[in-house]
Amino acid sequence: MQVFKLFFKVLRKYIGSIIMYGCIFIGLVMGIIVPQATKNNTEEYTQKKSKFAFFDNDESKLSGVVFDYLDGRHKLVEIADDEKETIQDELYNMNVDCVIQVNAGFEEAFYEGNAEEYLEIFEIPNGIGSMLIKQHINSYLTVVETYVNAGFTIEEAAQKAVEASELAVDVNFASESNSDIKPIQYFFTYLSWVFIAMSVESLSAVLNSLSKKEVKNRIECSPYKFVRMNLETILAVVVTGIVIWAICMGVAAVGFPNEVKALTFVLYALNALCIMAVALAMTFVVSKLTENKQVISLMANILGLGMAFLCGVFVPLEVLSSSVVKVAHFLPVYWNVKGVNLIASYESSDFGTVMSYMGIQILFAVAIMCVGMVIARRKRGIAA
Amino acid sequence: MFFHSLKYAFITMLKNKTALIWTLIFPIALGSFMYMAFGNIYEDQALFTEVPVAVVKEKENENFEAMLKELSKEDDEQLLVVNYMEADEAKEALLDEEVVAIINMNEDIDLTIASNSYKATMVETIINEYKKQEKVITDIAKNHPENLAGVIENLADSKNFYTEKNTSDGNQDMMTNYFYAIFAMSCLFGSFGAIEKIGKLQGNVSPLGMRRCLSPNSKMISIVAEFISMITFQTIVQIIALIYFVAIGVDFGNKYPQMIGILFFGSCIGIAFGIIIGSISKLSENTKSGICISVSMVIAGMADLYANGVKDMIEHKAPIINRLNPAALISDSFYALNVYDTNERYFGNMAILGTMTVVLLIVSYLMLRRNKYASV
Repeated sequence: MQVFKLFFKVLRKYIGSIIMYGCIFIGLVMGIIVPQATKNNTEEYTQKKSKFAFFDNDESKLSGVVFDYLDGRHKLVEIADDEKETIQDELYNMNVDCVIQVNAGFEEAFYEGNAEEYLEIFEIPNGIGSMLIKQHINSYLTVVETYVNAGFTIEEAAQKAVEASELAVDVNFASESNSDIKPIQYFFTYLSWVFIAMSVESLSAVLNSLSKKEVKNRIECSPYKFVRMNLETILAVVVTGIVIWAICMGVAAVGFPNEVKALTFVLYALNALCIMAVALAMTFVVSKLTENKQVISLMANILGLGMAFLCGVFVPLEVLSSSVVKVAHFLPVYWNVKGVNLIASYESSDFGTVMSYMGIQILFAVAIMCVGMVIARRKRGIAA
Repeated sequence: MFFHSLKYAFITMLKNKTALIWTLIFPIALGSFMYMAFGNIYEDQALFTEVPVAVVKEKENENFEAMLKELSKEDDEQLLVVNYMEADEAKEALLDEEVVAIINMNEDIDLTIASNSYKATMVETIINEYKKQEKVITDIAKNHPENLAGVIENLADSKNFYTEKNTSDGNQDMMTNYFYAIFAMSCLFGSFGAIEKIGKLQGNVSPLGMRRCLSPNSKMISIVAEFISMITFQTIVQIIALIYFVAIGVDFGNKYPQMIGILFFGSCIGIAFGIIIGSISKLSENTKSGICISVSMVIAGMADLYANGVKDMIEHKAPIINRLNPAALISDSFYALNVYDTNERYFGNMAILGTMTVVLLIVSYLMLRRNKYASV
C-alpha cells in the first residue's frame, strides 16, 4: 500500500490549504448563503404583502388615513431618506416594491379632483408588488371620494372606506402544499457546489504531485502494476472524500440539531455522499487533464458554479426554464438536487425514487472515473 | 531596459496559452450557464403580466360579469384573462398552473387558488373591490339617497390618484448582479498569474528568479513591465467576455467606454493583489494561490456571486465593507453605470480601486527591493 501511504504523506503538506478551503466554503454556506437564501425565499415567493416606504410631506388627515390603510394591508419598510439614489438602490435590491411620496397640498388637491400630481409612486416599471399597492390606493381613495361627495366628512369617509375594505372574499387552497424551502434543504443543495469546487480545487494539487515525472518514474520502475497504482490512488482519494463528507455532516448536525434524529437526515447524508463520489471522480479527471494551478482553479469554479447555476442549486429548479432543466438531466448535480427536494417532503413511498436518484449519481461518478482512467492511460502511452 | 523587460513580459504571457484560454473561458462559460439558468426569471417573478383566471358560473351575476369583461378588455389597462369553465376543468387548469385562480360564481362569489402569490392577491383584490362597491351603494342609498346617481357615476369612473415615477431608465433586473459579480471574480482571478510572475522575480522561489536577481535591472522596472503586460492581457480578455455577454443579450446599458474603465481598474486591483501576495517571500506557492483563491471567492460571494442580496445586506449593516471590497466596487460600478444618469458614484468607485492598486504596488515594491539571499 505504498502509493496509498504516499498520498497521505503528500496530503499532509497540503492540509493547511484544504482546511482553509473547507472553512471558507462551509463559512460561506452557513454564514451568508443559507440565511440570505432563506430570507429571499420567504419574502419573494410566498409574501403577498407588498413592501413600501412612505414619505408624508402633506401631513394632512387624508395622507394619514392613506398611510394607516396601507400600513394595515402591506409591509412598511423604513429607508434612509427620500433621495433619488437611495430610492433607486432600495427598489433595485427589492427591499421595497415602491416608495410613496405625498407632497404638500395633497388633501386640498383631492377635494379639487386632481390629487394625482401630489401622490407620487416611485417604482420599477410594471413591478408586480407596486401594481398591487397602486390597485389598493385607487380602490381606497375612490371609495373615500365617493363618500365625501355623498356628504360624509373625511373622517367618516375614511372609516367607511376601511369598513368596506374589510369585506373579503373567501379564499380556498386547491391543495395543501407547502412550497417553503427549509434551511437544511438549502444546506444540502449548496453542498454539491461545495464538494465539487473544494475537491477539485484542493485534491487536484495532491494528485498532481503524484503524477510528477520523478515520482511517477520512481513508482513505475518498481514492480507495482499500473492498475494497482491507480486503484490505491483512488482508494486514498475515496478515504479523503469520506473524511471531508463526515466533517460536513458534523457541521450539518450542529447547524440543524432538530433534524438529526429523523430518517431524512440519513437520506440527506447518503445523497451528499453520492455527490461527493462524483466530485472525487471529477477531481481525478481534472488532475489528469492539467497540472497548471491557475487552470485547475478556473476549472473547479466553472464545474462547481456552472452546475450550481444549471441544476437548481443557486436558482430553484421550479423557476428554471424547461429547456435548461432538460440539459440539467445530463448533469449529476441535478439528480442530487432532485434527491434533496424529494427528501425534504419525504414520505415512505418515496424511498425507491430517492435511491434511484442516488444510483444515477453513482453511475455518473463511475462514468467520469472511467474517462479519467482512459485519459491517464493515454497520457502514460504518450509519455512512454 | 524597460522596453526590453516589457517585450519579454509580453512574450512569456503569450507563451502560456493554457492559462490565457482558461482565463477567457472562465467568465464566458459561467456567464453562459447563468444566462441559461436565469432566462426570464425576472420577467416571470417580478413583473406584472395579465392574470389568467377560470370562472365557474353556477349562478348569473350580470354586474360582476360586466366588471370581469371590462377588466379583461385587451388594452393597456388589461388585468385579467378570463376563461369560463366547468368546475372539474377549472380545477385541473389550476393544478396545471394554466390559471392562477378559480372564481366561483354561486350564491356568493368565492375564490380558489393554488398558492399564495401576488397574482392571486390581485384577483382577490378585484373581487373585494366589487363587494366594496356593492356595500358603498347600499350604504349611500340608505343615508344620502339623493346622491346615489352621482355615487354610481363616481364608482364607475376609473380614476387614478397617483403619478408613477421612474428612478432610472436603465436595466432594473436584479439578476444582472450575478453577471457583474462574474466580472468581479474574473478580474480578481488575475491574481493567479501575478503570483507566478512575481515568483519569477524572486531568487528563493524560482530558478528564473535567481537569474534575474543577478542582473542589474531595477526591481521597479521589472514589476512595472510585468504589471503592464498582465493588465493588457487581462483587460483584453475581460473586454472579449463583455462583448460576448452583450451579444447573447445581457443588458449592461450602453456606456461602453466607462465599462472598459471598470474592467481596466478591476484587472489592476486583481493583479496588484496577486503581486502583493506573491511578494511575501516566506509563503509557499501553494499557500499564495490558496490565499488568492480564497480571498477572491469570499469577496466575490460578498458581491452577490452565489446568492443575490448579500451585497445589499452588507450595505445596510456595514457599508464600509462594500467601500473596501474590490469585488463589490466592481459590481457596484457596473450597476451605477447601468441605472444612473450621472457618473459620480462610478468615478468614486474607480478612484478607490485606483488608490488601492497604487498602494498595493508600492507596498509590493518595498517588500521586493533590495532582497538579499544568503543561500537559496
